[in-house]
Amino acid sequence: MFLFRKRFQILPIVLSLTLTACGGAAPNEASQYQDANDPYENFNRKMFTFNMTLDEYALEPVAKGYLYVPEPVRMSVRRFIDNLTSPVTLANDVLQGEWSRAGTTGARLGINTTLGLFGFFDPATSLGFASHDEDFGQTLAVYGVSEGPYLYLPILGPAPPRDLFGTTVDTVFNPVTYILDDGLSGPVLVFAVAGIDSRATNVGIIDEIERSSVDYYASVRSLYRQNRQSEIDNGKTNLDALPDIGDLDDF
Amino acid sequence: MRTLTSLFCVSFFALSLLALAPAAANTNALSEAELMAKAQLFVTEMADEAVSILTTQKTREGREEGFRALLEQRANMRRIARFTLGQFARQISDEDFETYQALLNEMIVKVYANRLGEYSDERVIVGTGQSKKRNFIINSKIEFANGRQPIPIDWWLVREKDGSFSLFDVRVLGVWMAQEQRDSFSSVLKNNKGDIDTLLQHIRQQISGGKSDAVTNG
Repeated sequence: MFLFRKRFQILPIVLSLTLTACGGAAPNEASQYQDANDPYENFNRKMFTFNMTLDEYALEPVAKGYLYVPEPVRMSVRRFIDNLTSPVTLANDVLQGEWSRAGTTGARLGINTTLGLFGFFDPATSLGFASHDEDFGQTLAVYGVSEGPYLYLPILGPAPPRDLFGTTVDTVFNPVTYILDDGLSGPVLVFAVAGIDSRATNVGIIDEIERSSVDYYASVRSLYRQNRQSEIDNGKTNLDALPDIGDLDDF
Repeated sequence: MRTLTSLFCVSFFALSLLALAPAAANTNALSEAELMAKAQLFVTEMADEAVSILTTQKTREGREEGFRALLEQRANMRRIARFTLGQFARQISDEDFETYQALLNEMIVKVYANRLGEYSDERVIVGTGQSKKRNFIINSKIEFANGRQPIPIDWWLVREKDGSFSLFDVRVLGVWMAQEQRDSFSSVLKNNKGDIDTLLQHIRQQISGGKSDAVTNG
Protein backbone atom coordinates (compact mmCIF):
# COMPACT_ATOMS: atom_id res chain seq x y z
CA MET A 1 0.00 0.00 0.00
CA PHE A 2 2.95 2.29 0.43
CA LEU A 3 3.44 2.22 -3.26
CA PHE A 4 0.64 4.64 -3.83
CA ARG A 5 2.43 7.62 -2.58
CA LYS A 6 3.58 10.14 -5.09
CA ARG A 7 6.88 10.60 -3.36
CA PHE A 8 7.74 6.97 -3.76
CA GLN A 9 6.78 7.06 -7.37
CA ILE A 10 9.29 9.77 -7.98
CA LEU A 11 11.77 8.17 -5.75
CA PRO A 12 11.57 4.48 -6.14
CA ILE A 13 13.48 1.49 -5.10
CA VAL A 14 16.89 2.71 -4.42
CA LEU A 15 18.36 6.06 -4.69
CA SER A 16 16.64 8.23 -7.10
CA LEU A 17 16.48 10.20 -3.94
CA THR A 18 19.75 11.85 -4.61
CA LEU A 19 19.29 14.89 -6.73
CA THR A 20 15.75 14.27 -7.81
CA ALA A 21 13.10 14.19 -5.20
CA CYS A 22 14.03 12.73 -1.92
CA GLY A 23 11.74 11.84 0.88
CA GLY A 24 12.09 11.25 4.53
CA ALA A 25 12.36 13.68 7.31
CA ALA A 26 14.77 16.29 8.24
CA PRO A 27 16.36 17.78 11.26
CA ASN A 28 15.05 21.20 12.09
CA GLU A 29 17.64 21.98 14.67
CA ALA A 30 21.19 22.63 13.67
CA SER A 31 22.58 20.22 16.23
CA GLN A 32 20.60 17.42 14.70
CA TYR A 33 22.80 17.54 11.64
CA GLN A 34 25.39 15.87 13.81
CA ASP A 35 22.91 13.35 15.13
CA ALA A 36 22.17 10.60 12.69
CA ASN A 37 19.05 9.53 14.61
CA ASP A 38 19.54 6.10 13.14
CA PRO A 39 19.11 3.53 15.95
CA TYR A 40 18.44 0.72 13.47
CA GLU A 41 21.52 1.45 11.41
CA ASN A 42 22.71 -2.15 11.21
CA PHE A 43 19.32 -3.32 9.93
CA ASN A 44 19.03 -0.33 7.63
CA ARG A 45 22.45 -0.95 6.12
CA LYS A 46 21.50 -4.55 5.37
CA MET A 47 18.34 -3.39 3.62
CA PHE A 48 20.36 -0.78 1.80
CA THR A 49 22.72 -3.46 0.53
CA PHE A 50 19.73 -5.53 -0.55
CA ASN A 51 18.28 -2.63 -2.51
CA MET A 52 21.67 -1.88 -4.03
CA THR A 53 21.85 -5.45 -5.29
CA LEU A 54 18.31 -5.23 -6.60
CA ASP A 55 19.22 -2.02 -8.35
CA GLU A 56 22.35 -3.46 -9.90
CA TYR A 57 20.69 -6.58 -11.30
CA ALA A 58 17.15 -5.40 -12.00
CA LEU A 59 16.28 -1.72 -11.83
CA GLU A 60 19.33 -0.17 -13.44
CA PRO A 61 19.41 -2.55 -16.46
CA VAL A 62 15.68 -2.03 -17.03
CA ALA A 63 16.08 1.73 -16.61
CA LYS A 64 18.89 1.83 -19.13
CA GLY A 65 16.70 -0.08 -21.56
CA TYR A 66 13.87 2.39 -20.93
CA LEU A 67 16.16 5.17 -22.10
CA TYR A 68 15.70 3.83 -25.64
CA VAL A 69 12.11 5.04 -25.48
CA PRO A 70 12.09 8.53 -27.06
CA GLU A 71 12.30 11.33 -24.52
CA PRO A 72 8.99 12.97 -25.59
CA VAL A 73 7.22 9.69 -24.88
CA ARG A 74 8.89 9.31 -21.51
CA MET A 75 8.02 12.90 -20.69
CA SER A 76 4.36 12.31 -21.56
CA VAL A 77 4.22 9.21 -19.38
CA ARG A 78 5.76 11.19 -16.52
CA ARG A 79 3.19 13.95 -16.94
CA PHE A 80 0.31 11.48 -17.14
CA ILE A 81 1.31 9.87 -13.85
CA ASP A 82 1.84 13.24 -12.19
CA ASN A 83 -1.59 14.38 -13.30
CA LEU A 84 -3.24 11.13 -12.26
CA THR A 85 -1.86 11.35 -8.75
CA SER A 86 -2.23 15.11 -8.31
CA PRO A 87 -5.33 14.76 -6.07
CA VAL A 88 -2.86 13.62 -3.39
CA THR A 89 -1.12 16.97 -3.67
CA LEU A 90 -4.44 18.82 -3.79
CA ALA A 91 -5.72 17.15 -0.63
CA ASN A 92 -2.55 17.94 1.26
CA ASP A 93 -2.42 21.52 -0.01
CA VAL A 94 -5.85 21.94 1.56
CA LEU A 95 -4.93 20.13 4.79
CA GLN A 96 -1.95 22.45 5.17
CA GLY A 97 -4.09 25.52 4.57
CA GLU A 98 -2.06 26.38 1.48
CA TRP A 99 -5.01 27.76 -0.43
CA SER A 100 -3.03 29.44 -3.18
CA ARG A 101 -1.08 26.26 -3.88
CA ALA A 102 -4.30 24.26 -3.72
CA GLY A 103 -5.72 26.57 -6.36
CA THR A 104 -2.67 26.00 -8.51
CA THR A 105 -2.96 22.23 -8.16
CA GLY A 106 -6.66 22.33 -8.93
CA ALA A 107 -6.09 24.49 -11.98
CA ARG A 108 -3.35 22.17 -13.19
CA LEU A 109 -5.58 19.15 -12.76
CA GLY A 110 -8.41 20.76 -14.70
CA ILE A 111 -6.29 22.19 -17.49
CA ASN A 112 -4.02 19.21 -18.01
CA THR A 113 -6.85 16.66 -17.86
CA THR A 114 -8.78 18.52 -20.58
CA LEU A 115 -6.48 20.63 -22.73
CA GLY A 116 -3.57 18.38 -21.87
CA LEU A 117 -5.39 15.25 -23.02
CA PHE A 118 -5.62 13.35 -19.72
CA GLY A 119 -2.32 14.78 -18.58
CA PHE A 120 -0.08 13.56 -21.39
CA PHE A 121 0.70 17.22 -22.04
CA ASP A 122 1.28 20.05 -19.61
CA PRO A 123 -0.21 23.30 -20.88
CA ALA A 124 -0.83 24.38 -17.27
CA THR A 125 2.85 25.18 -16.69
CA SER A 126 2.89 27.45 -19.73
CA LEU A 127 -0.20 29.19 -18.34
CA GLY A 128 1.61 29.98 -15.09
CA PHE A 129 0.55 27.04 -12.93
CA ALA A 130 3.83 25.40 -12.00
CA SER A 131 3.92 21.88 -10.60
CA HIS A 132 4.65 21.04 -6.99
CA ASP A 133 4.22 18.01 -4.73
CA GLU A 134 2.67 17.58 -1.32
CA ASP A 135 1.97 14.47 0.71
CA PHE A 136 0.59 13.60 4.12
CA GLY A 137 4.05 13.14 5.58
CA GLN A 138 4.71 16.79 4.78
CA THR A 139 1.33 17.73 6.21
CA LEU A 140 2.20 15.99 9.47
CA ALA A 141 5.53 17.82 9.52
CA VAL A 142 3.77 21.14 9.05
CA TYR A 143 1.66 20.27 12.10
CA GLY A 144 4.82 19.61 14.10
CA VAL A 145 5.16 15.84 13.91
CA SER A 146 8.82 14.79 13.86
CA GLU A 147 10.11 12.14 11.52
CA GLY A 148 11.04 9.55 14.12
CA PRO A 149 14.07 7.29 13.75
CA TYR A 150 15.50 6.74 10.31
CA LEU A 151 14.19 3.59 8.69
CA TYR A 152 15.28 2.07 5.40
CA LEU A 153 13.06 -0.63 3.91
CA PRO A 154 13.43 -3.12 1.07
CA ILE A 155 12.04 -1.81 -2.22
CA LEU A 156 10.69 1.38 -0.65
CA GLY A 157 13.97 2.82 0.57
CA PRO A 158 13.90 5.57 3.22
CA ALA A 159 10.64 5.42 5.16
CA PRO A 160 10.78 6.89 8.67
CA PRO A 161 7.58 6.38 10.69
CA ARG A 162 5.96 9.73 10.01
CA ASP A 163 6.32 9.37 6.27
CA LEU A 164 5.40 5.71 6.26
CA PHE A 165 2.16 6.59 8.01
CA GLY A 166 1.69 9.52 5.65
CA THR A 167 2.00 7.21 2.70
CA THR A 168 -0.78 5.06 4.06
CA VAL A 169 -3.09 8.02 4.43
CA ASP A 170 -2.25 9.27 0.94
CA THR A 171 -3.63 6.09 -0.57
CA VAL A 172 -7.10 7.34 0.32
CA PHE A 173 -6.58 10.48 -1.77
CA ASN A 174 -5.00 8.71 -4.69
CA PRO A 175 -7.33 7.89 -7.61
CA VAL A 176 -4.97 5.14 -8.70
CA THR A 177 -6.13 3.16 -5.67
CA TYR A 178 -9.61 2.89 -7.14
CA ILE A 179 -8.80 2.25 -10.78
CA LEU A 180 -8.71 -1.52 -10.62
CA ASP A 181 -10.89 -3.79 -8.54
CA ASP A 182 -8.13 -5.29 -6.46
CA GLY A 183 -6.90 -1.85 -5.41
CA LEU A 184 -3.30 -2.91 -5.79
CA SER A 185 -2.47 -3.58 -9.42
CA GLY A 186 -2.87 0.03 -10.50
CA PRO A 187 -0.61 1.49 -7.85
CA VAL A 188 1.99 -1.23 -8.39
CA LEU A 189 2.06 -0.51 -12.10
CA VAL A 190 2.30 3.24 -11.57
CA PHE A 191 5.02 2.76 -8.98
CA ALA A 192 7.02 0.53 -11.27
CA VAL A 193 6.80 2.79 -14.31
CA ALA A 194 7.53 5.95 -12.31
CA GLY A 195 10.41 4.21 -10.58
CA ILE A 196 12.00 3.04 -13.80
CA ASP A 197 11.54 6.47 -15.35
CA SER A 198 13.12 8.19 -12.37
CA ARG A 199 16.03 5.78 -12.28
CA ALA A 200 16.57 6.22 -16.02
CA THR A 201 16.45 10.00 -15.81
CA ASN A 202 19.04 10.10 -13.08
CA VAL A 203 21.27 7.21 -14.02
CA GLY A 204 24.39 9.33 -14.47
CA ILE A 205 23.93 11.42 -11.36
CA ILE A 206 23.28 8.43 -9.14
CA ASP A 207 26.33 6.60 -10.41
CA GLU A 208 28.47 9.67 -9.82
CA ILE A 209 27.24 10.19 -6.28
CA GLU A 210 27.80 6.53 -5.46
CA ARG A 211 31.28 6.72 -6.90
CA SER A 212 32.23 9.91 -5.07
CA SER A 213 30.84 9.16 -1.64
CA VAL A 214 33.01 7.88 1.20
CA ASP A 215 29.93 6.31 2.80
CA TYR A 216 27.12 5.94 0.29
CA TYR A 217 24.55 4.85 2.87
CA ALA A 218 25.23 7.94 5.01
CA SER A 219 25.22 10.20 1.96
CA VAL A 220 21.84 8.89 0.89
CA ARG A 221 20.49 9.34 4.40
CA SER A 222 21.67 12.94 4.40
CA LEU A 223 20.40 13.68 0.90
CA TYR A 224 17.06 12.14 1.75
CA ARG A 225 16.54 14.11 4.93
CA GLN A 226 17.73 17.40 3.54
CA ASN A 227 15.59 17.12 0.47
CA ARG A 228 12.61 16.12 2.56
CA GLN A 229 13.04 19.21 4.71
CA SER A 230 13.23 21.30 1.57
CA GLU A 231 9.93 19.79 0.43
CA ILE A 232 8.35 20.51 3.78
CA ASP A 233 9.54 24.12 3.58
CA ASN A 234 8.25 24.30 0.00
CA GLY A 235 11.75 25.03 -1.22
CA LYS A 236 12.25 28.05 1.00
CA THR A 237 15.36 28.41 3.12
CA ASN A 238 14.79 28.60 6.84
CA LEU A 239 17.77 30.54 8.14
CA ASP A 240 17.05 29.55 11.72
CA ALA A 241 17.33 25.87 10.81
CA LEU A 242 20.82 26.19 9.38
CA PRO A 243 23.73 24.97 11.48
CA ASP A 244 25.54 27.63 13.48
CA ILE A 245 28.95 28.05 11.88
CA GLY A 246 30.04 31.02 13.96
CA ASP A 247 32.43 29.01 16.10
CA LEU A 248 34.32 27.59 13.12
CA ASP A 249 36.56 30.65 13.07
CA ASP A 250 37.59 30.26 16.69
CA PHE A 251 40.24 27.57 16.45
CA MET B 1 64.23 64.81 20.95
CA ARG B 2 63.65 61.07 20.70
CA THR B 3 60.45 61.50 22.66
CA LEU B 4 59.25 64.20 20.34
CA THR B 5 60.06 62.09 17.33
CA SER B 6 58.15 59.16 18.79
CA LEU B 7 55.23 61.40 19.60
CA PHE B 8 55.26 62.74 16.06
CA CYS B 9 55.30 59.23 14.61
CA VAL B 10 52.47 58.05 16.84
CA SER B 11 50.44 61.14 16.03
CA PHE B 12 51.04 60.69 12.32
CA PHE B 13 49.97 57.08 12.60
CA ALA B 14 46.85 58.06 14.49
CA LEU B 15 45.99 60.69 11.91
CA SER B 16 46.51 58.16 9.18
CA LEU B 17 44.02 55.89 10.84
CA LEU B 18 41.56 58.74 11.09
CA ALA B 19 42.04 59.50 7.43
CA LEU B 20 41.33 55.89 6.57
CA ALA B 21 38.44 55.59 8.96
CA PRO B 22 35.73 56.97 6.64
CA ALA B 23 36.48 54.32 4.07
CA ALA B 24 36.27 51.55 6.64
CA ALA B 25 33.19 53.05 8.16
CA ASN B 26 31.59 53.20 4.75
CA THR B 27 32.20 49.50 4.25
CA ASN B 28 30.67 48.66 7.58
CA ALA B 29 27.85 51.10 7.17
CA LEU B 30 26.50 49.58 4.00
CA SER B 31 22.79 49.16 4.14
CA GLU B 32 21.27 45.70 4.11
CA ALA B 33 20.14 46.25 0.54
CA GLU B 34 23.65 47.25 -0.54
CA LEU B 35 25.16 44.24 1.19
CA MET B 36 22.64 41.97 -0.44
CA ALA B 37 23.42 43.48 -3.83
CA LYS B 38 27.12 42.83 -3.24
CA ALA B 39 26.38 39.25 -2.25
CA GLN B 40 24.27 38.75 -5.37
CA LEU B 41 27.03 40.21 -7.51
CA PHE B 42 29.50 37.83 -5.87
CA VAL B 43 27.31 34.88 -6.84
CA THR B 44 26.75 36.18 -10.35
CA GLU B 45 30.46 36.54 -10.96
CA MET B 46 31.26 33.18 -9.40
CA ALA B 47 28.54 31.41 -11.41
CA ASP B 48 29.73 33.06 -14.60
CA GLU B 49 33.25 31.85 -13.88
CA ALA B 50 31.99 28.31 -13.25
CA VAL B 51 29.96 28.28 -16.47
CA SER B 52 32.96 29.65 -18.32
CA ILE B 53 35.09 26.79 -17.02
CA LEU B 54 32.49 24.24 -18.10
CA THR B 55 32.13 25.68 -21.57
CA THR B 56 35.77 26.44 -22.33
CA GLN B 57 37.57 23.59 -20.61
CA LYS B 58 36.81 20.39 -22.48
CA THR B 59 39.19 18.10 -20.65
CA ARG B 60 38.76 16.77 -17.15
CA GLU B 61 42.15 18.13 -16.14
CA GLY B 62 41.27 21.56 -17.46
CA ARG B 63 38.02 21.66 -15.56
CA GLU B 64 39.68 20.51 -12.37
CA GLU B 65 42.31 23.19 -12.70
CA GLY B 66 39.63 25.79 -13.31
CA PHE B 67 37.59 24.73 -10.30
CA ARG B 68 40.70 24.56 -8.13
CA ALA B 69 41.47 28.19 -8.90
CA LEU B 70 37.84 29.22 -8.49
CA LEU B 71 37.55 27.61 -5.05
CA GLU B 72 40.83 29.10 -3.88
CA GLN B 73 39.60 32.51 -4.87
CA ARG B 74 35.95 32.31 -3.84
CA ALA B 75 35.56 29.76 -1.03
CA ASN B 76 36.80 29.70 2.55
CA MET B 77 38.12 26.17 2.42
CA ARG B 78 39.39 26.34 6.00
CA ARG B 79 35.88 26.91 7.29
CA ILE B 80 34.46 24.19 5.05
CA ALA B 81 37.09 21.72 6.26
CA ARG B 82 36.32 22.41 9.90
CA PHE B 83 32.60 22.16 9.28
CA THR B 84 32.76 18.89 7.39
CA LEU B 85 34.73 17.28 10.19
CA GLY B 86 32.00 18.18 12.68
CA GLN B 87 32.87 17.55 16.30
CA PHE B 88 36.03 15.73 15.24
CA ALA B 89 37.59 18.98 14.00
CA ARG B 90 38.70 19.86 17.53
CA GLN B 91 39.98 16.39 18.31
CA ILE B 92 42.59 15.77 15.66
CA SER B 93 46.16 17.02 15.56
CA ASP B 94 47.18 20.05 13.51
CA GLU B 95 49.20 17.79 11.26
CA ASP B 96 46.25 15.50 10.58
CA PHE B 97 44.04 18.51 9.97
CA GLU B 98 46.43 19.89 7.36
CA THR B 99 46.50 16.53 5.62
CA TYR B 100 42.72 16.39 5.75
CA GLN B 101 42.45 19.94 4.41
CA ALA B 102 44.62 19.18 1.42
CA LEU B 103 42.77 15.95 0.62
CA LEU B 104 39.36 17.57 1.04
CA ASN B 105 40.27 20.40 -1.32
CA GLU B 106 41.37 17.93 -3.94
CA MET B 107 38.33 15.72 -3.49
CA ILE B 108 35.93 18.63 -3.84
CA VAL B 109 37.64 19.76 -7.02
CA LYS B 110 37.44 16.31 -8.55
CA VAL B 111 33.91 15.54 -7.40
CA TYR B 112 32.40 18.78 -8.67
CA ALA B 113 34.36 18.88 -11.87
CA ASN B 114 32.82 15.46 -12.53
CA ARG B 115 29.32 16.13 -11.22
CA LEU B 116 29.04 19.31 -13.25
CA GLY B 117 30.77 17.82 -16.23
CA GLU B 118 27.52 16.98 -18.00
CA TYR B 119 26.40 20.60 -18.02
CA SER B 120 27.61 22.89 -20.75
CA ASP B 121 24.54 24.62 -22.11
CA GLU B 122 23.34 26.33 -19.00
CA ARG B 123 23.10 29.82 -17.61
CA VAL B 124 22.67 30.82 -14.00
CA ILE B 125 19.93 33.29 -13.12
CA VAL B 126 20.59 34.90 -9.75
CA GLY B 127 17.48 35.75 -7.77
CA THR B 128 16.67 37.13 -4.36
CA GLY B 129 18.40 36.49 -1.08
CA GLN B 130 18.09 36.67 2.67
CA SER B 131 20.58 37.23 5.44
CA LYS B 132 21.14 36.70 9.12
CA LYS B 133 24.16 38.17 10.86
CA ARG B 134 27.11 37.34 8.59
CA ASN B 135 25.28 34.67 6.63
CA PHE B 136 23.75 35.38 3.23
CA ILE B 137 21.65 32.89 1.28
CA ILE B 138 21.32 33.78 -2.39
CA ASN B 139 18.79 31.96 -4.56
CA SER B 140 19.41 31.17 -8.19
CA LYS B 141 18.45 28.66 -10.81
CA ILE B 142 20.25 27.00 -13.66
CA GLU B 143 18.38 27.23 -16.93
CA PHE B 144 19.18 24.91 -19.81
CA ALA B 145 19.18 25.72 -23.47
CA ASN B 146 17.59 22.36 -24.31
CA GLY B 147 14.45 23.14 -22.33
CA ARG B 148 15.32 20.85 -19.46
CA GLN B 149 13.61 21.69 -16.17
CA PRO B 150 15.54 24.46 -14.37
CA ILE B 151 17.48 23.42 -11.27
CA PRO B 152 17.30 25.62 -8.16
CA ILE B 153 20.68 26.45 -6.63
CA ASP B 154 21.15 28.33 -3.36
CA TRP B 155 24.48 29.81 -2.32
CA TRP B 156 25.49 30.24 1.30
CA LEU B 157 27.94 33.11 1.61
CA VAL B 158 29.67 34.34 4.74
CA ARG B 159 30.72 37.95 5.13
CA GLU B 160 34.27 37.88 6.40
CA LYS B 161 35.66 40.27 8.99
CA ASP B 162 37.26 42.40 6.29
CA GLY B 163 33.88 42.88 4.63
CA SER B 164 34.49 40.52 1.72
CA PHE B 165 32.29 37.54 0.91
CA SER B 166 33.30 33.91 0.72
CA LEU B 167 31.42 30.80 -0.36
CA PHE B 168 30.58 28.32 2.38
CA ASP B 169 28.04 25.92 0.91
CA VAL B 170 25.87 25.27 -2.14
CA ARG B 171 22.39 23.78 -2.08
CA VAL B 172 21.23 21.85 -5.11
CA LEU B 173 17.58 20.82 -5.20
CA GLY B 174 17.28 21.18 -1.47
CA VAL B 175 20.54 19.48 -0.52
CA TRP B 176 23.41 21.38 1.06
CA MET B 177 26.60 19.81 -0.24
CA ALA B 178 28.88 20.55 2.73
CA GLN B 179 26.29 19.19 5.10
CA GLU B 180 26.05 16.04 3.06
CA GLN B 181 29.83 15.71 3.22
CA ARG B 182 29.80 16.22 6.96
CA ASP B 183 27.13 13.57 7.48
CA SER B 184 29.10 11.16 5.35
CA PHE B 185 32.45 11.87 7.05
CA SER B 186 30.90 11.75 10.52
CA SER B 187 29.44 8.36 9.74
CA VAL B 188 32.83 7.01 8.68
CA LEU B 189 34.48 8.37 11.81
CA LYS B 190 31.71 7.13 14.10
CA ASN B 191 31.83 3.66 12.63
CA ASN B 192 35.60 3.53 12.90
CA LYS B 193 35.98 4.74 16.49
CA GLY B 194 36.98 8.24 15.43
CA ASP B 195 40.04 7.06 13.52
CA ILE B 196 40.97 9.95 11.24
CA ASP B 197 43.41 7.79 9.29
CA THR B 198 40.52 5.64 8.08
CA LEU B 199 38.69 8.69 6.82
CA LEU B 200 41.82 10.04 5.15
CA GLN B 201 42.33 6.70 3.47
CA HIS B 202 38.79 6.71 2.09
CA ILE B 203 39.17 10.24 0.79
CA ARG B 204 42.40 9.21 -0.93
CA GLN B 205 40.51 6.36 -2.56
CA GLN B 206 37.88 8.76 -3.81
CA ILE B 207 40.51 11.06 -5.24
CA SER B 208 42.18 8.20 -7.03
CA GLY B 209 38.84 7.21 -8.52
CA GLY B 210 38.25 4.01 -6.59
CA LYS B 211 35.09 3.13 -4.73
CA SER B 212 35.21 3.45 -1.01
CA ASP B 213 33.71 0.90 1.33
CA ALA B 214 33.83 3.09 4.35
CA VAL B 215 31.91 1.30 7.03
CA THR B 216 33.98 -1.33 8.71
CA ASN B 217 32.75 -1.43 12.25
CA GLY B 218 29.14 -0.42 11.79
